[in-house]
Amino acid sequence: MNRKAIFKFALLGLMSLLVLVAPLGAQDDVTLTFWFEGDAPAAVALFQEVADEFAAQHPGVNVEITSFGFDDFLRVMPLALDGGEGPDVAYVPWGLQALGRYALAGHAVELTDLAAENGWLDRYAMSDIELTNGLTPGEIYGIPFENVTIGVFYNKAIFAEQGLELPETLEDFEAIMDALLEAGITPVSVGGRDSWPLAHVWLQLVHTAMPIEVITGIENNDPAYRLDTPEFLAATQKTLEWAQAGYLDPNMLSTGFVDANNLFINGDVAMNIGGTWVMNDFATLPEFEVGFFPTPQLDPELPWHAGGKNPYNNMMINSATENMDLAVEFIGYMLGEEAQTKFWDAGNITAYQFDEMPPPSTPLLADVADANSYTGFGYNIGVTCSALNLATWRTLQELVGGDITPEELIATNQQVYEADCLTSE
Amino acid sequence: MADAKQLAGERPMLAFTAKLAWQKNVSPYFFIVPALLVYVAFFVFPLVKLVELSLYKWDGILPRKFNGLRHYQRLLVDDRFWEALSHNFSWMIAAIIIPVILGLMLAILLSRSSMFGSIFFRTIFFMPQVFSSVTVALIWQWIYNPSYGAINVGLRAIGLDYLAQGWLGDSDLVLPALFIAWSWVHYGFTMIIFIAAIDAVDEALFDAAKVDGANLMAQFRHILLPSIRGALTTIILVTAISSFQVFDMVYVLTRGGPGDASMVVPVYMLESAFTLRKVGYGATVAIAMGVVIVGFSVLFLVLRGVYKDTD
Repeated sequence: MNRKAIFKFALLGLMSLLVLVAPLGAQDDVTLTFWFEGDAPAAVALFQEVADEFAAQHPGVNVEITSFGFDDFLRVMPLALDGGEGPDVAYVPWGLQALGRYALAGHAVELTDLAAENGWLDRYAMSDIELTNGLTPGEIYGIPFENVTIGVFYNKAIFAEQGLELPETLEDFEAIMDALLEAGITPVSVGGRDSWPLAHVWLQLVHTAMPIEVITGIENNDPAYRLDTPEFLAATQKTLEWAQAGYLDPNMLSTGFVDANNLFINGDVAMNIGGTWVMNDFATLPEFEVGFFPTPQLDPELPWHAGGKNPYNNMMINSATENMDLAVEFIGYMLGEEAQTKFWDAGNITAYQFDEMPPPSTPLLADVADANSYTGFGYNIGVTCSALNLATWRTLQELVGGDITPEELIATNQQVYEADCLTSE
Repeated sequence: MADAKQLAGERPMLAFTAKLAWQKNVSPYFFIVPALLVYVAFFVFPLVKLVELSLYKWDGILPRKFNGLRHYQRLLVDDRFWEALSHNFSWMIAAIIIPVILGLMLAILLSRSSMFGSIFFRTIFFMPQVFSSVTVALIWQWIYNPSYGAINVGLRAIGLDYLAQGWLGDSDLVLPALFIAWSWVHYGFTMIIFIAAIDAVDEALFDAAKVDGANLMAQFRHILLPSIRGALTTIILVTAISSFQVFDMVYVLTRGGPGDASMVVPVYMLESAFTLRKVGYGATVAIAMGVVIVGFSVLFLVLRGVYKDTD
């Protein structure tokens, strides 16, 4: 055997050894999978940062994160769970409807005892937990992670140029929109082509027109409440009135959510009625400062409950996980003060109750926190019954398109409520 | 004795012939088996499952409940389904006429004329067909954008501001607007098939017609059209079926809106099955759509057969 042959033989042996030994070395590494709803780059980067931090604190642990858009998550997650697959931990959108059904089907780990042991019940409002776990009374399968609020984002530069003050009443608000129209500025951008942003405008008026009991009653699919009342009619008429007056972008039905946001970010419109999930973009992308105020009340006599202010996404553990202990540790980390401070600093309205609130990272977050301090919770209607949600989106497009009347809209909604929500499939 | 010997000699011959005949008649089926298995696994089995699903109430997560034929009863009185189906029919009629005629005209122009650069134009006109339908939808989303879209910007640039509008937000315009976007892709397909068919027509027929004094219209009517009838049938059938299956363009651009002004059956099926989590009803809508497509295809082929026989 010459020297070359010996070298080849040794090299081959070394490679074989590496192939055999490598898996043994990797046996210590555990990969925890985490799925979440939210495909905005900033949200993905934030989750990656927090997951990396957890992994850094747990040698030998990798956290593999996967982001989904809202619709995709709701389509993919049930299929994965049904096949005994899916992530170890998930951040589930649409609390009651999605989480509740996963729990009823046995796909989610019950967290009731863990919540007490880990002190989560001290840090997360029981009312929020009860709402999102409404399909499994007395049992906790998900912990609300983030609060969202819907209100009015406004361009502070345009308001200053036009000498406009923040509105205290609905009349003030309409006077502001009249002044903007006179100045040739479209008051509010709405992504009505995607339908749900238009529903948010309507929901703001609904929430300021009736007591919170009506909203929660409908959210709980209580047959004692109706959607064809004079209050619903007044909110619907006001929505149509705003559309016809030109307060809402006349092109809203052909403008999508992203385009409507861009109109606001580019300074082409003065305001955008939307949810705090766009706050990161609005705080960082425009060249002007953005402010926020809650939608003024249609009925000023009522206690103010901001529409859409509600606990939203939930943390859950997949019952098929093979990394249960690690999943519990991860969910504990995500729900703990360290991760929650990161989320707050990034501009999210965390559901976590701090002993002392950290200072807002942006003036916009300060505005939202301020608005939250004097308006109460006002859950979105339609969240628990997707048929009602879709019907509202559809009929609102028809309303502002001039195809149906406010009376027809509320009649259709009531019909869908009776047919699909009170007797769910 | 001689007969017995002869018989003994013929028996192996007969057996050999029978074996050959058996191989000839039966062996092809063995070759079909793999394809048949794939067909059963990926078409027949899912179809049976789909029919089964349509008989159940199921949200896709919790255990399903038997519902009999109630979903079918409901479908018959579901106004939204019938409206969506009527949109598909309108789409189909427009699709059989506009992209087919456009494709035929371009094919004649590019095949029968001696214009310079016909290969280049063939490529250019076929190009949209190469893009994925979602990409095409995004292109048209930009074209139709009310603020910075090509159409409105163009109209404003030539002083026709009053014509600029939200093309996808008007319940009267949205369906034609979507159809134009879809046709932009589809006419390239019809053009290529027509070009192949036209190129296959014997040039001597046209020469003879010219000698007989036939003008262009007469050549088209009496030579070209009968010669490409097979291609025309295929194109009409494929176009009709694909217009029933139109989904991507509508889903990306409007999701059936505003209201239900552009709702088509495939989008309604998706909404029912996944957004509303009525999987059983979504399956029923899918079956209804399949029945309509198969029914139309059979009717079309039968009518074509009748026409061919009387021709």
